[in-house]
Amino acid sequence: MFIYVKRAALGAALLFSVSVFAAGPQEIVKKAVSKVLHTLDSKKSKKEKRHIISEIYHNNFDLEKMASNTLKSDYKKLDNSQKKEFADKFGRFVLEFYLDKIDKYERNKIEFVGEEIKGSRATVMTLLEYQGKMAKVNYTMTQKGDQWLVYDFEVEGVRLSSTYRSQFAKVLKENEFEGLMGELNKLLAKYKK
Amino acid sequence: MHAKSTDNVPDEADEEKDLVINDPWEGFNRKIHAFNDLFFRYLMKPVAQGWNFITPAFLRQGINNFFNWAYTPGRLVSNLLQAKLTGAGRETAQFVINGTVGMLGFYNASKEIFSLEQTNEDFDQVFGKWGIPEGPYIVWPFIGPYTVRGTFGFGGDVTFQPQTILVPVYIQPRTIWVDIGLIVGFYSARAVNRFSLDPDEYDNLIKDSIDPYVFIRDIYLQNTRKNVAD
Repeated sequence: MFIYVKRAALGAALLFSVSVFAAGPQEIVKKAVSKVLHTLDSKKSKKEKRHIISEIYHNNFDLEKMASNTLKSDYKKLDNSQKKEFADKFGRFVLEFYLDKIDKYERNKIEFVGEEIKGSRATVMTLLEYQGKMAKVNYTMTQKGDQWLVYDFEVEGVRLSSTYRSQFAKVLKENEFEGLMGELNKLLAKYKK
Repeated sequence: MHAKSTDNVPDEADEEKDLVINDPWEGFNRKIHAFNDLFFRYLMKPVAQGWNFITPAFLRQGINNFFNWAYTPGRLVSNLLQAKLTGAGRETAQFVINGTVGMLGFYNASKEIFSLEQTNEDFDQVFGKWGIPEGPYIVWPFIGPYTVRGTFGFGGDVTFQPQTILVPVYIQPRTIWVDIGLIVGFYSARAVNRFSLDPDEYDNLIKDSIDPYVFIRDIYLQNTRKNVAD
């Protein structure tokens, strides 16, 4: 089992390498990685680093698309205010998940393998060194206007959306939307400890 | 900071297929998962923490490297059975380099000096590449999540582990209990040493889940399918 725990835990190490500005998808991710690493290597306080990276995240992730892509058909059953509430809360969870891992940040090697663009969707493929091995990390992005935004990512085949989809669907089925919000609140509370 | 448009989430939200889950034995699996969770928290983790406390990090990393090196035969055969000749070449080269310059694998010289990585091929990937379906998801006591195909793959991996082949030569008479003892002993030693590198890894992983059983299952299935597809 430990091998899979290790592989799965890779996901935690990666989010810090993502933020996006206007340009081609791979170039955008490259620049963003550089900016995030610069922030992490700076002498700023932990609180300041957290603030800067939070800002990068909010500016460059498409939280609504991330929410709809995770809930899939269940997303369409929500009303507009529930969609917004879920997108905000899930977005906060992903951010907290990510910031939590920054504490364990080490200067790992990152390689950019390439990009694949299909219409308004792109995948940027990278390799990230984790515990002595190179892990495949792919970012899925969507184009909105002239901007490419991240809405999903995949670590060694393990996708954010697919990993949370079953859990969220089960809660929605058993305890409806309020139950799902309650579970997300519990997850967020763990990061406040 | 600026929010992205929320007005028009397109139907392409469904463009990625749902993860296909084949888990007809969920009731049984959940019980075993609960047992494994207790086993890990109250036995495995304390032992790993104790090993972490009394053993310097470089030695634990070296032992981990040694196990990875000693398990080369299984990965090499798995590469060959999938006609992955580049992978087989990498495994052969790293085995020679780490076995000599790397002092029987304790130092991962192939990676540190030549940027030559080990592969992660195993018999589950071999069977998957041959077109054998993965079958239902199953959780085993102590060793954790597998599919039915993965269980047979685990058997194949064990067959090519060095303790199965080499050590019984020096332990006579060789019985099934000797073999089982060796497999369990080496598996446990490797697992404890591996966990000692980061004893909080499991807790940190589970922290991000609503339902740890579903979380681990979905991660396992995605990862194993990606490995077969590669």
